[in-house]
Amino acid sequence: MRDHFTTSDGLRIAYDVDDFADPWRRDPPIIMLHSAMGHSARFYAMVPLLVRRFRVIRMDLRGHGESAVPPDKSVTMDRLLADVRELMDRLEIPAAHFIGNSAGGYISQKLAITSPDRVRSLSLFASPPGLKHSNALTWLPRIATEGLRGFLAATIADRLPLDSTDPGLVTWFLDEAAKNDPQYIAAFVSHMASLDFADEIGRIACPTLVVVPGGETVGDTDNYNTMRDRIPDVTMKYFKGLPHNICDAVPERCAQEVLQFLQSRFPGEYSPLRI
Amino acid sequence: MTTFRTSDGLTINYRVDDFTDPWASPETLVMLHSAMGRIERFDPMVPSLARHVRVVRMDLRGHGASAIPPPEEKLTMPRLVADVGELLDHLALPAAHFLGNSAGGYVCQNLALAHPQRVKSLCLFGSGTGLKGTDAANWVEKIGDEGLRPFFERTIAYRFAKDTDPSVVAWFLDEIARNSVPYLAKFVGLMTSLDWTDQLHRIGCPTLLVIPGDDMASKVRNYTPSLRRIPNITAVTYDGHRHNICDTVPDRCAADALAFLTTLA
Repeated sequence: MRDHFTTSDGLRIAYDVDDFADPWRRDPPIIMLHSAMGHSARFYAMVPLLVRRFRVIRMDLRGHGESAVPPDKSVTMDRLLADVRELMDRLEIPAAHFIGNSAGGYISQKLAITSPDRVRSLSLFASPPGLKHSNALTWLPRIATEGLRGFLAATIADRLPLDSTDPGLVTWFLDEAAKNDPQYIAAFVSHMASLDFADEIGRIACPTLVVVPGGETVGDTDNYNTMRDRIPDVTMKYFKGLPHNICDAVPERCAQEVLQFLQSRFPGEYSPLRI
Repeated sequence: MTTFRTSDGLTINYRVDDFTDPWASPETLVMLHSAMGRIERFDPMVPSLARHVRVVRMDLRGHGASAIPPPEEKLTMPRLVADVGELLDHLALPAAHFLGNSAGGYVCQNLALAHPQRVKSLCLFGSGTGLKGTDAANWVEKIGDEGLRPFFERTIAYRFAKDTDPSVVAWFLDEIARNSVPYLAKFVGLMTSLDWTDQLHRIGCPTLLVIPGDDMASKVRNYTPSLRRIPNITAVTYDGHRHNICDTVPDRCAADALAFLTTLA
């Protein structure tokens, strides 16, 4: 069910609650945070696999999807973190399991570092500790000249395995990404490309699943080795050969990894199917 | 909440759940709940189905968040069938697949008889040919005397096997207690007056019938006429299960419905 709330700085944020879990076993929920240029709906194929086990909340990050674009188009990590905490406060969620895809995973990691009591676990997809060690800044002039759709269409092979991807998905992905405000996206990507919090991830105390696209095309794969070496309670998974957008290309596989991880680490919170 | 108004002016609540590929044109499955049920009772079955088909659920009139018709108004099967047809009209759907649990399945079957062109297939869970001649006719009086929750607590063995998770039973009783007794009397009264056995041969669409194995012993439900007379029927029996299979094993019900729908694709 889609709903909205207004943040403490007055911005309207859209979110979805999908609740198909048995009514007597509903908490803690999963919160899903999408990537730069994404929105909640991009998780559509992962959600049905998760919702019998957990209540699932998806938020459109500010400036994305149906959430408003900040009037000054500014982006700070502190504000993005505050948005998540305020949504949790509104829904009276003390702590949640987080699934973060790419930039959504940066926010999830930073939340686990700054508000450890609110994060029970992290499932991170294609999400290193920031985009500083990447080519993301080279996107900006291309987005400015080619437009979001043109840039993404020209570089789509960096994101999706085209030989095994439904052409309908490619078109939908491009159409949806093109709905974003290019100036805000430029500010968002610039900010993410300034981040490197590798020296902070040793403070991530919760169980953490890191799923690495084996053919990562955004950023340096060494970033994932840092996660492997520094996050105390980490489970590493590698999807061989796949480029960056694994949550789009193989959503069912991503959801299954989360379920397997949560079932093994939080058996008491994992609702059984009733068959 | 999404609603529409029926041709006789009643507000009907419905819900659409859709996790299908956004660029595809999915088939639609309409789910109709049992007597005393509502949209939410199907929640556990929905997600796995909604990844493959658009799932539309409605609260039957007098149930859930749909309005209760005026007390003096007679309830009829043609009116219940018309509500579903009008929902399809509201959604601009010429036809859909249908899934009905118990009395919801009675409405589905009567829709398939009255408007065969609107029903692509039927999935029936614990849904035979009405309650005529059964002791369900006595429920109404007993519910009036005892109250909804006490009556269903006392007769719970009829709906749930002994080993059922107590949380499921407690949830069921809480759900049941939400209903209006006078309307329920009308609704169950109607169902005990109907029998369309002699029409079953006219249900032409592919039909799945899921039978709770221990339902037959209750002498309230009889699935033999459906099995013998619906021409294109596939039957599955859940051994050891009492009537309320959609409540006890929703994930199994959804998997069987999905497997059946997949064979039609």
